[in-house]
Amino acid sequence: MTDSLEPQFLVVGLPASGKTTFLAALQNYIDSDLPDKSIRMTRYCANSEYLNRIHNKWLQFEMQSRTIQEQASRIDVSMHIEVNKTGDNFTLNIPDVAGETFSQQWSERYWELEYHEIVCASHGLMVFVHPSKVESHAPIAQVISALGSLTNIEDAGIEDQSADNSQEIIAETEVWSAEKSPTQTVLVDLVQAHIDHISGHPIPVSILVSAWDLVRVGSPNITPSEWLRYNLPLLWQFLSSNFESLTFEVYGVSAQGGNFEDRVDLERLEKIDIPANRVLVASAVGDNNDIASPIISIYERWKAKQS
Amino acid sequence: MTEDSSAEQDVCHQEGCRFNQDGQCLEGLTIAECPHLRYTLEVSDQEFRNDSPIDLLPVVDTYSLFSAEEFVPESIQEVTFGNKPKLVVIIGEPNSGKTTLLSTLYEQFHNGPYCSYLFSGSRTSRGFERRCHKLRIASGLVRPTMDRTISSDFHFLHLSVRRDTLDRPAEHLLFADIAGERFSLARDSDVDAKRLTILNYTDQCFFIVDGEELAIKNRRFAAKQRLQNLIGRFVQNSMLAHCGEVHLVISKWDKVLEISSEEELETFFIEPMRQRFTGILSKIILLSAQPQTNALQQVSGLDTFFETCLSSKSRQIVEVSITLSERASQFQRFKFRKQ
Repeated sequence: MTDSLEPQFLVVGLPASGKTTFLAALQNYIDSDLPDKSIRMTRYCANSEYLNRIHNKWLQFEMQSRTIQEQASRIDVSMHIEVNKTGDNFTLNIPDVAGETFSQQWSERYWELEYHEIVCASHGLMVFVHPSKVESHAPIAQVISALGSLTNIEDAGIEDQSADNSQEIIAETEVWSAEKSPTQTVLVDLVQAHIDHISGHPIPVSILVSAWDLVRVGSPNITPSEWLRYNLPLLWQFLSSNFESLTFEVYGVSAQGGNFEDRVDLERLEKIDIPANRVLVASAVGDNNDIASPIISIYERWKAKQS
Repeated sequence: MTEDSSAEQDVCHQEGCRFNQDGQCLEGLTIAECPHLRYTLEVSDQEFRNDSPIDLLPVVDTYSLFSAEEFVPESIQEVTFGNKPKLVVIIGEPNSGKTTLLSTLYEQFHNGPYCSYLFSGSRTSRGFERRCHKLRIASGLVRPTMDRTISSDFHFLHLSVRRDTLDRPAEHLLFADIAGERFSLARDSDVDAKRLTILNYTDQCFFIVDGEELAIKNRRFAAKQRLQNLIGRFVQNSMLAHCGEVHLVISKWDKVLEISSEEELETFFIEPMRQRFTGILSKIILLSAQPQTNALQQVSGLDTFFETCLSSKSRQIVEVSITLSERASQFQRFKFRKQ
């Protein structure tokens, strides 16, 4: 991770945001004999044992649960990649696959020095978001308004905690903690802090909405960009309004292709002969099965900036 | 270092407080509440000699990020360096709705663009998040409420926004969040009023009054009198002469509509205030930031407040000469940058 001529792209995301499954599908793509692959690995990475393990799980339709090893120590992955069409090289850094570093950034306000060095040497950012792990800000006034008039609170059997004995009741309410902050606030902070430390603006940023098959179930026609705008509007505004500092694209990625624990989904996936074709990548230009396409896109945006 | 020979203690750094002598807080706060206490570890000379320099240095294997908490005057350069923020000061008694107003404005951007502006960042997002907590379901409350600002220090919240046409640079707002007690003191004393020198550097100044107080018949006269005295005190001391614009916000407007009426308040309060402070008050904003009545169920007046904060009428610049030996305060630096 030292050659400045060879760009490095950083993969970040809160815990359980889909990074592990993406890595497993990417490892499958690189190991596969697919024709017209856009990238290849130039050398085995230091953490091949981990990659092989998650790849095997992925091939056997097993969920990627966190192992004891992952819980005990941080797993960093660096993939050295060559673009087949041009022969250009770049590195994809996935520090802390489990993602504790990134939630810690918001709650504790520090990075480990080693991580800080990785950030400063980076040229682009891939941010993972899981659609079912989005903590909303849920204002009381909006929720009450949706439920009906405030005057009906007692009728609805909800205890009014701002009554006369408020002192006692407030003591029972949840005190503020960083961990309970809305996901979009944490992600804005995550992107902002990284952009501050990466030189060469505008920085190419990709937002990868994982488990895209789940989103499609409820909203079959929604695009990844629309999903971001409606579900994480603060992050969308931040990305849109800071175009001097960053360029961004949004992808919907289903690296598993479906829910392994759902029988119908599993049967559908088992019928697919080429495992790489299980993958779904949705973008502004349509759908494909190419897990490498978001990586190629971030590389091409970086390269276009150089010329 | 052994625990036996070192002593841990809290030391208060507030001027005039006798906590270090007799344990009594000047403001009557508990140790947990007081923002002036600093934890110190006293180390004896012998210990210092016994430890090697390496042992005494903290192990630094981490990189500190910006705190994202509210700014204090010493730290606002994080925003003022390289930017020209607009300084907004909201002046009102305790519980008049100052913090609720700021929190609700920040909260609007969690739903999407607001008044054709996009959220463009905040260097004090944790400061905002803390303040918003009791407006949210996550707090466990069923009515939005707000913790009172208790520190007598000045705190600042930063919000960066950008017009949705993206044809202009992002604009930076710095909101001063000041405890109402500071203004209660200023109302009664020229000395305390003159201490609020922040007003010399303010772009938009809002006096805020609790509308519910104005609507309740046995409280309205006193509430009106207190506000008149407060504004009058600042006028008497020429404290508003250099502000860009001065406005009046009537908060909890939903309560006014429920208890009284717009016409009644116009006759009793709004028109007399306009008359008394002609040439000083620019806008009168009827604000319902957290409506809790059937009379008004939508946030109202917040858009006018926000657009007024961004309006570009500049404040008058005061000539201040600073000798080379004099240390420029953060606010003075702020002012010069604005020029």
